[in-house]
Amino acid sequence: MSPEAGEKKGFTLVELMIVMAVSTIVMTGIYTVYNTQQKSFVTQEEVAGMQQNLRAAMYFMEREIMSAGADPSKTAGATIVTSGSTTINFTMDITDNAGTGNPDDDVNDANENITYGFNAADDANGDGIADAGAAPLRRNNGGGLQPFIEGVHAIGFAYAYDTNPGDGFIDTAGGNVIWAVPNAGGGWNDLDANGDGAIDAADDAADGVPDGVLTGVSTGDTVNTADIRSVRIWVLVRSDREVVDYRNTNTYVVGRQVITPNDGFRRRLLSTIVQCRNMGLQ
Amino acid sequence: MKDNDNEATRKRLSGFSLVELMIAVAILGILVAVGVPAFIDWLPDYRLKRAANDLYSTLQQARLEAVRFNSSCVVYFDTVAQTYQFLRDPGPNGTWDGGGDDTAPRPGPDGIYGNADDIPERPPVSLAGYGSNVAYGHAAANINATDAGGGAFPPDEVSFPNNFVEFNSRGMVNGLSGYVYFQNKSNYPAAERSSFAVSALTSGRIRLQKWFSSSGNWR
Repeated sequence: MSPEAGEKKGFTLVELMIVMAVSTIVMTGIYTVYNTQQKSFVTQEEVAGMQQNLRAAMYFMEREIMSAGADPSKTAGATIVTSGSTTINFTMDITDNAGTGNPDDDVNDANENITYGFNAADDANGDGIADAGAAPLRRNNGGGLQPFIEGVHAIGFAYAYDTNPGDGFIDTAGGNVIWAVPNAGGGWNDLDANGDGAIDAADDAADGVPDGVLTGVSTGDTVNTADIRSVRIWVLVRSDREVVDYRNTNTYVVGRQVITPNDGFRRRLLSTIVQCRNMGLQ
Repeated sequence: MKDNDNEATRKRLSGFSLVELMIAVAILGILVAVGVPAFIDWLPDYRLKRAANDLYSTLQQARLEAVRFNSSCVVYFDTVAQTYQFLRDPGPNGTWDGGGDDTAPRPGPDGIYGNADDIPERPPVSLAGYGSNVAYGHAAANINATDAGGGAFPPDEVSFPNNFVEFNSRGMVNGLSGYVYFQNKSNYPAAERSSFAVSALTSGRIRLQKWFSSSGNWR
């Protein structure tokens, strides 16, 4: 065979097939890595978005609820008006009629009478869970409930109180602060039914009715909103869309509600305690 | 033997035949014929996406600068001139009034208006500059991009009050959430246009959503 003939020799079929097989494997690997990264990016974007919403929701509510009952003259009657398990309405005297000056002994000026909660159209049964899975959390400062944070799945409130004003201490049960919600009879129900100091899914069975709602146990105390000293807030937010290859079966306890979703949405729960420093000042 | 060698060498050194070339050109022609309409369809969508992404970045920047300089930053939308502008200073009168004196140069290091060290504002971004008739508009979308969906579109396609959004020093929006709608191919029927919604929520979150007419939603 001459050298010339050797030079002209091309690839054999077997060689070509090996090359194709190897490149297929390599390309599959590259695509898998890309796909994973892409999913991770989308997920992180969703999580970052809802985290921002959650942070802002808590920021607003903490700041305002902290001022509930601010009443420098002690004659404006500022207090917590309604202490619901899913809504809260409170007043304070922080400015004058123009909304720019000093407190003027009433609670009817700009941003002095605040309500937080869902509106009835988004939460028909008032259980604090958005009927559509997510709805705007709303704030009312006199002009009706205006949406202020979007993508909220559930909201809950509980209250710590001092029924014997004067001793200056928040009421406790078994050494734990009582976090209570009003019951139908006008009294307080302690959400921590099993008395372990934590409000969690275990309290649902302990309250005698395992129905996904923490009924709590009656403390025997009567609801008097002026007794409230601290407010505990739960906010559960949900991502805008379902995340691929993710199943959310976590259990979230949002105030009275035990929520176990079974869907592809990412969620984040934040709970905080706000001390109403102006409540209980004599 | 010698003849055979010559024959082989001639064949090896010869170029393409006319038929081969014609086949190659024909295939190329078919590919171009298929590709060009696809490209023409794709280009306006690409331009619209670019415009929406630019606004998204501008809003992010306004938010970050508001936090960084501990003072409000505003993005003002002029739906008549089809522009928007990033503003850092409310101007000599001290209040945000959109296109008024907000666009005056802002004071330089000496903090006083009218001196030589004043920093000129950034020029407005013109939507027409993106080509393909990119403009404010919501194309064929029949529900707005709010979470609740439904509801009417703002007549001028910008739902921020007074057509500006103010980020405060905490990185949140002063007031209610707002939405801005962009569309392309404004000279075509609505069904042939695409649309993006860019929004800034009260929480300071900035979102970019595209209208999908097939599924009838924004995502």
